[in-house]
Amino acid sequence: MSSILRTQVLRTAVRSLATATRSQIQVTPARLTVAARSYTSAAPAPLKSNISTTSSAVVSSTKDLIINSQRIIAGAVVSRQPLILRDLTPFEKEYFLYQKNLERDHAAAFGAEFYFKKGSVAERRWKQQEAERLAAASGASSTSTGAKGSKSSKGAAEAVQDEITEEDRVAALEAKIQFNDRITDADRKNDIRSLERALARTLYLIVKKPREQHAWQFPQGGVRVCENLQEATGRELSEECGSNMDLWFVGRVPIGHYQYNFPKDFVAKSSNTAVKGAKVFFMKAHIFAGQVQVDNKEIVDFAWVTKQEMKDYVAPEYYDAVKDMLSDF
Amino acid sequence: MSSFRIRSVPVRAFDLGLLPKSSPIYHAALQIRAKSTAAAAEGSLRSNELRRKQCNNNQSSEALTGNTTLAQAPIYTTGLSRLREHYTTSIQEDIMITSYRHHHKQKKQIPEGVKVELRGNKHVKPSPRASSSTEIPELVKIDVHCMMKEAITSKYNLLSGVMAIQSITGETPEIIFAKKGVHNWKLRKGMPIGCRVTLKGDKMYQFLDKLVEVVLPKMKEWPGLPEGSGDGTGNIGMGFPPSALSLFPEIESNFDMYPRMTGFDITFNTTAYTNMDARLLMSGFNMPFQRSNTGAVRKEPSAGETKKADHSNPVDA
Repeated sequence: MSSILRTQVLRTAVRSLATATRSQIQVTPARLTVAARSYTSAAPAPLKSNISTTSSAVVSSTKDLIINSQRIIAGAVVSRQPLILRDLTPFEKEYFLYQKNLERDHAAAFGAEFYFKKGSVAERRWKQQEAERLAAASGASSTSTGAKGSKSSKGAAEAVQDEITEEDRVAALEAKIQFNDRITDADRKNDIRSLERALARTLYLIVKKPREQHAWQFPQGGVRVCENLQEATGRELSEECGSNMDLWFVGRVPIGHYQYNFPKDFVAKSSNTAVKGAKVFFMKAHIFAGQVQVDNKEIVDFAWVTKQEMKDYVAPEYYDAVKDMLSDF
Repeated sequence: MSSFRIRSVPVRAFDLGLLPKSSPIYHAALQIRAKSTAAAAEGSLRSNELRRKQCNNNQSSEALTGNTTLAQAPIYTTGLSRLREHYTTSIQEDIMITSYRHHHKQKKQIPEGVKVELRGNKHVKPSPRASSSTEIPELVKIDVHCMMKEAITSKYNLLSGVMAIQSITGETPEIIFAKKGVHNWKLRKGMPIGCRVTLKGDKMYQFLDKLVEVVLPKMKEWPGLPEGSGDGTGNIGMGFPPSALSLFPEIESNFDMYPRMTGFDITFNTTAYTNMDARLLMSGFNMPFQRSNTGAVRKEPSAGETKKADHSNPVDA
């Protein structure tokens, strides 16, 4: 290594150590290793030693991050966002229907000659649709209007329908849009592990740990030294739930936190008695594809639940701590 | 109060709230106020909007003022707006998290009395104040505007533009008259030269949905909005060539009926304070942006934060 490069390395090392002490992290300074670079030009190129993003990692350490005798843990709130519009209330249904009828009644006359060329397929298809609409309207109002009124409108509808050929009808049927069912198979079977369930709601991932108390919780794991929250969450998720999930992390700031103290006998038995409790910082992520893979080592089961259903799974004090992070939609 | 004359009382000082509505001068005063505010350009817009807010149907407003305002098409809500629901359930929360700043960078303040001279007759723009974490940017309105040079030779040439914009948006556009003349272009003050539609609410979301799902994917070799888009105060504009009109489903079917195809521009007006927040909001609605390999964009003159979340486009297919 050239002398210029060596001074650069030392300078960055000193700077990084200084920042570490300023933030008062109780951690032993990690050894900095820089890949040897060869520069032919006289001007030294700046070294990229950015402590905050360790993806171009120069520091590697598996030591747990402990601040003020609290172990820092990163939790993941993985959510599947709603895929369809929410269900309408009965009042909303009636109101929208009323407004639709009002709009149709007050709409300006439709200029068919402007939109459709005479004798075109589109014009015939539109005429057929209009006839169907007329028939439906006359059918609906057959009880209210007199026999004469209904007969005349029916006659008009029949006259239009004669013009429409069989092939047009078939073409119209093919062009008809088929809507998927809002209630899927997963809803009917109540498959709690499926991502296709409750399409109008937000689903959150909770995992079951192999223990009796506080078994169900969000996936979480300890943050290591020189690793940021987002990286820790990603690592923990792949360790606990497998890497078969297409995730996107929302920003780099946590959306909530939960602090709990370890029981006294646990602290006495543990290797590091200085650690009295833990602080969990939850990071938000969305899943777009894939599914959790259970390996029975860290988790034994998982579920995708709505905010209301989560109450039946997680402990009451845990639910009180996390419920405000979760969406009601 | 016997010889009370309306002329002697300044209308602005007239507190109509104190007057009983049975008084004969109440309605007369309202008319005068309406006429005087209609004269001022800004005032008419504000009073129109206020009137629209207070009474939805035109009948009651006409009864009050006695003069017929521009007939506003009544707004019918026939269903949930897909993009509005998506914004409420998903985008709002995600934007709050991604644009959260724990510490706002202290911006360099120019001390009082110091004059900063910029080249090219430019002025120093005031830097926007940092938005709080609860101020989440929202889409307020979309302006669709078209200007036709052919309208100079004959004002009826503008009709095709008006028709096209009306078909696309579903609302009747207002005609834009030239504010001042330009001799070189033979433009005189007061000539009808363009048309504009302002879309709000459900119609705005409908138009945006159509744009993003149908029109933009069909555009040939359009790489997306530039990375540094924005006017500095949270609004984003984009222009379309005349060929883009044929991509709209309303015009696609009877393309030949429109005599002259014209280009137009669209402005997204948001409540964001900075370009970055505006782009974040629009990308949440699936608006494509160009991406370079480097992370941060430093084009903004008053950029508070240079750090930009370097994540992939936060878009749900």
